[in-house]
Amino acid sequence: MVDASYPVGGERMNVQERVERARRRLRAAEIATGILEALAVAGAVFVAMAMVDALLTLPLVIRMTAPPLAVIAAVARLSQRLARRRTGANAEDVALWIEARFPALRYALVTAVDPEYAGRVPEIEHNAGLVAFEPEVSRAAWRAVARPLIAVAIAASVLFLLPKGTVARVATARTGDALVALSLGRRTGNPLEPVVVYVAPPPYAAIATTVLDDPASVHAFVGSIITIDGRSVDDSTSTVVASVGSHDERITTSSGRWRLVFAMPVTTTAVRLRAGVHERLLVVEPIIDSIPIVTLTLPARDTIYRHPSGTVRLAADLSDDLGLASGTFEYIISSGSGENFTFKSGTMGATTFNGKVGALAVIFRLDSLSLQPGDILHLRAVARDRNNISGPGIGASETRTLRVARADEYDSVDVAAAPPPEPEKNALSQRMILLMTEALEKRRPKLNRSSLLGESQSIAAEQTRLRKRVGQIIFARLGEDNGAEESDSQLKPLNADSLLAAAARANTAKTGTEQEQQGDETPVVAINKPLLTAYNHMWQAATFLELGEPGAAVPWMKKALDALQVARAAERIYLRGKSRAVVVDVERARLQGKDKGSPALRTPRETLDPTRAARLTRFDAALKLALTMPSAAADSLLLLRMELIGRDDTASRDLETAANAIRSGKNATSALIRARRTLVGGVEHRNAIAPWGTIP
Amino acid sequence: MTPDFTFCTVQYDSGDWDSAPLVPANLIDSVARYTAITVAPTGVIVPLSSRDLFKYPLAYLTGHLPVRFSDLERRTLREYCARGGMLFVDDHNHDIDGVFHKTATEEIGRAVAPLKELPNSDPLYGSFFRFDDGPPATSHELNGWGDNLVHKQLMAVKTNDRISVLYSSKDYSSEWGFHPDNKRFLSIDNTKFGVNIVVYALTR
Amino acid sequence: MPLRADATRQTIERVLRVAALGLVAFGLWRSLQPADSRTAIRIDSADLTAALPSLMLTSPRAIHVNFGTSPRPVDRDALLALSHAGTQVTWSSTSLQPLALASERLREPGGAVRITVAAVAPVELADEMAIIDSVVPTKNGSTVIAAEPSDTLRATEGRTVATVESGVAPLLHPVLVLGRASFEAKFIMAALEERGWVVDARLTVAPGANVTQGKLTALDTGHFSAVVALDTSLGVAGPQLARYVASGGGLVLLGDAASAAVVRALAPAHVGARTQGTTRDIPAKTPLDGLPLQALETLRTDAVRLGARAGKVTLAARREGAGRVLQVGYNETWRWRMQGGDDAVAAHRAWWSRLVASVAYAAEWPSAVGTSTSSDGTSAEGAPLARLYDAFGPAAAPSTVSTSSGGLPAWLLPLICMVLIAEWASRRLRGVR
Repeated sequence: MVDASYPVGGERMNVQERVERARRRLRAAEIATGILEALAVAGAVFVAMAMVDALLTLPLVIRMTAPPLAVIAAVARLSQRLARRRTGANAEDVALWIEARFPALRYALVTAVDPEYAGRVPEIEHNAGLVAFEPEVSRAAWRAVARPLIAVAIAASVLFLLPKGTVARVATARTGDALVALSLGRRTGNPLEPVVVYVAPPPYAAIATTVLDDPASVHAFVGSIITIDGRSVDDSTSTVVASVGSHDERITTSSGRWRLVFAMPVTTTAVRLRAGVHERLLVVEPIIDSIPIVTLTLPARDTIYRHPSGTVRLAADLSDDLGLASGTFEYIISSGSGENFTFKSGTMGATTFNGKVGALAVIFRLDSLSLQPGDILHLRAVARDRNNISGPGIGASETRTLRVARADEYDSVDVAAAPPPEPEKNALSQRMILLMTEALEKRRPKLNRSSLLGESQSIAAEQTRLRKRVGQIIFARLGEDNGAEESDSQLKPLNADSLLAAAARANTAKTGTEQEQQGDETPVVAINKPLLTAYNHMWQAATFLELGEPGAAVPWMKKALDALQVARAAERIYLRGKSRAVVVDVERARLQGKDKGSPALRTPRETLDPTRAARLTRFDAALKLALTMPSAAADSLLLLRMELIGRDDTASRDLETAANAIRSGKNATSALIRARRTLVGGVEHRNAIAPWGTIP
Repeated sequence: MTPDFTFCTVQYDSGDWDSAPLVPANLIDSVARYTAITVAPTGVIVPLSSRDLFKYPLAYLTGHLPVRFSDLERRTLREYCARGGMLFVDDHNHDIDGVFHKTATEEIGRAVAPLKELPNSDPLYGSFFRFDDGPPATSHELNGWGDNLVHKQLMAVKTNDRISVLYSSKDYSSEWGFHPDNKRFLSIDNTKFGVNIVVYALTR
Repeated sequence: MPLRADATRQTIERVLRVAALGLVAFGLWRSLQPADSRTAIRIDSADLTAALPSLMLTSPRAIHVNFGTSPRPVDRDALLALSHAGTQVTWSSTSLQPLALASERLREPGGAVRITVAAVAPVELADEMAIIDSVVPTKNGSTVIAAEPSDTLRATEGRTVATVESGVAPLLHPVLVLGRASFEAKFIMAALEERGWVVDARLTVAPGANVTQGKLTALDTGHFSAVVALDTSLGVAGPQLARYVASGGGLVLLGDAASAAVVRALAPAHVGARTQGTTRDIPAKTPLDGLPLQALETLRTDAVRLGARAGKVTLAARREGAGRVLQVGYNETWRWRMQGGDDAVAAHRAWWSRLVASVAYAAEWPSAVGTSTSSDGTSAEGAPLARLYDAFGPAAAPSTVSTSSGGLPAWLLPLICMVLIAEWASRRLRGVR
């Protein structure tokens, strides 16, 4: 029997086993080659992009494609390698592969591994086993792996040798990595380019920090902390100095970087950076924190209550752009009428919030506010936001008015239906006193003297009280104290004799006609003539009542009543509802004034936009600079932009676009044309040629 | 002949806008007495939310009660001032601690712009009569009514360097709230400052 | 013994030599001939600029130019000089379109330019900086008012280009406003001042009490560009108005101002009765419809009607001496500003500024209507096709012009060369030097 086993590496293996072992070895080499090639391809992608970035400074968007591109390329290469016809696919392929390298085998190995002949041709197997093909297999495997291994090593070496940060810019590209490595093409001595700006909004805004690469403008909430980082250069003449508006700011340096930190001001401000001959401008523009929006949903409309009882439901919706802090309902209660009012205010339903939207709801009892007839309750919802820097912003809803009807508001008998004005009240009282006196006079025959006197004097007391009330009105309208009838000579006209004389004149006046001044009447008499007449008649009536002569008092009372009616008509006392307009006799009054006016000179109004022409000149000058000194031109445009913020936002935006384009070296033509057109203003079209000048 | 000036009183939803019904007639009378301006013999009342307000480039607003404008009133007032209208507001309470003052100043700030003190050298004080010491005091101020203060200055919002809202805490509404026929008996006509306001509105 | 063929060949060679000599002699004779008596040249506009120097020297009998684009004014003028020197110049074009462009600086603050265009196809308007706008002219032409264009304006209609200078800004004096104190006075002054006019005024408030602004010096064109009369309260300036207008000043009469005795003779029309607006409010699109009107009646024969509403004349103007008078029938134009649409404030302002600008006196006449020198030294050309017609008459058909050109024909030299080469080749092939 032929021994078909052979020693290989201390083991005895038959030829089939040896071929199988060779197959495994070749297969492993193929897989290793595929992996190494994939790694080499990935490395090449990173190397290529890193080197291009070092030369040209690729935008962030392009750099961010490096990792996925590398992965895709590696996977593609690996898939391609593994999909090819594999050398180590099966034993026969391996045997053929060996046969090609060892022609002396004369296909003995192929026959030996053929399953059809396996074990049945020992001689052939023996002959095949005599050839030591293992070293050749090892050599082939190493050769296959060596090339990609070298490629991987080269790629790794290049990546290692590239300047620090270059690889990071493509491997982990992110906003704010402008300073990670300067590109080879831009390695200049200008520490002001590039810069990275970090904007940390105030805590109340609950917004994450934003990072900006080399911006020309920064928009931030007031109170935000703005950090500007740049790369220091070794040249001592290029120390960076900075000013924010008109204030110089401190620059800190460490680890090859300089840093400026400041708080966002309330107005648009220019940040100037200077380093030796280099200068740069950055515009920081505040974002306005809006006030909360408050909508009062309940009550839906104003209401009048006959009786202030029951419950009222209040509801409001609130929202804010950044976040609400609190909300509440505010109320004001107005009580009174005419010239006398009192006010009471308060809040209810105070609530704190955490989010951007919220709702307020309260149910309260009307009687808890102690409302009286005639009172007016004003209600509104108020919300505050979380702005603790420039605020808080306070937003308020519309106001609802809840009014409590006056006692006689619904009285259908009283046509006036309004709180009667003062004299009207007096007329009612005078009417009552008159009725009481007339009733007493009717009962007089049945009463003894003492009873008559007693009742007459009590009516007299009422009449006196009424007279004093009328006196108070007269004096109040003159700005005098109550009880002025007892005071000094200025009130001479108010003694009985002069009043009688004035009243005698007044008695000739008809009801409802204007009271004309006569002679040298004092203002007191002229203004309050009918009331004075009434006052005087009341005095007479009271005198007779004091004497126990009610019958004699009645005519005076009637005259007093008439005078009160006249007072109401002459003074145009306002009743509830639309007041009757006073018609002025303009022609009678024309130029009757004693004093002459001497008007001062009028000062001219300003032109709507007086600096427009100057701005256009500055723009044209910046255009000329754009060709020779683009950085200075960009700064000029930014300064111009600052002036236009809030005045012409379209022009401001166009100027910012143009400045950014110039600074980044892009084509700024269309942005500049747009900006100029916006600065100059639009065109007007007419579909004809006007026959005269410019009249349409 | 169409009058050059018609006195307009503003009616607003929230308060007693009609608390000084005699002021219009009084000022109409004063304008006629001292100037040749053709003036309508009666005033008009126009809601603040109405577009009719724009027919009267000078308008008067007063009251005692809280002033709370609706959104429409606020928008109308803002546009009215932007186009060149002038609103004269007077606190009938004469109380800077009172609800009219607090609410009216807040509403004017929301609708137009915050009120600022008007210097006593403003052209308003020389537009017809000369008031070298600024706005004349009222009897209510001198009598200690309301906030017991004599306000040295008025307040105003200016648009394009012209007064668009004139605000008074001096209670001219009470001062001028009497029938014009009684003016003859006053040794000093206390309505002359009102003539300045009208002439300012017609010429500046 | 020479063959018969050689002999024939020699004969042919002799003939060729003679022919070559003959052609050379012909060329000499041709070049010595003056071109004018028998030559006419056809040339394209693209080659015109380069060909003109030689044409000026040779002065051909006739030149026909086919204009594919607008000619440069200097080239056209050179052709005109040739035609005056005896050369018949004709032209044709299939691409030039009728186009006319004119510009005028408005007599108002702000540097705006009024550009008028007449064309048959859409036109693109541009200045040195960029395109201003596109215009589709109507049969009545078009007007574009551009704010502050740069120096040279260009209109392009297909391949036709017209250029004009935008001109210098006029020197304007203040405007004087006369009348009673009123909202009309307030808002007219506001509109003019906001627009950039310097305004002097005298507003009557009461007898002896006027609100004034400015120095109110003598009423002449050295101090005021225009006077706006709001009503009949003209004061002491009234009697001076006639002399002021006659010397070039501008006068705007509003409402019943035209009925004042001192200006009645200046006004274009009589003042009619006052009527209310045709609409209840001030419409946003047609605000003038909502204004009260005192219609202009019985227009003078030299008055130009500028506006009408419902058959009634609202605006009219006339010249008086060196000046202009514009009469406006509308009343209470301030209502447009207060009660009009969203753009009413700006529109009212612009309207009043244009009214005053249409009569204002300016110290320097805003130039550049038609032709002037542009920044690159060439003349501006406001109406290229019209100028061609004007210079050379209507276009001529190209076929009527002979195509013979002055100078040597192009085929002569090659023919001479061919003949000489043939003769030489024949000799050489025979083995003869």
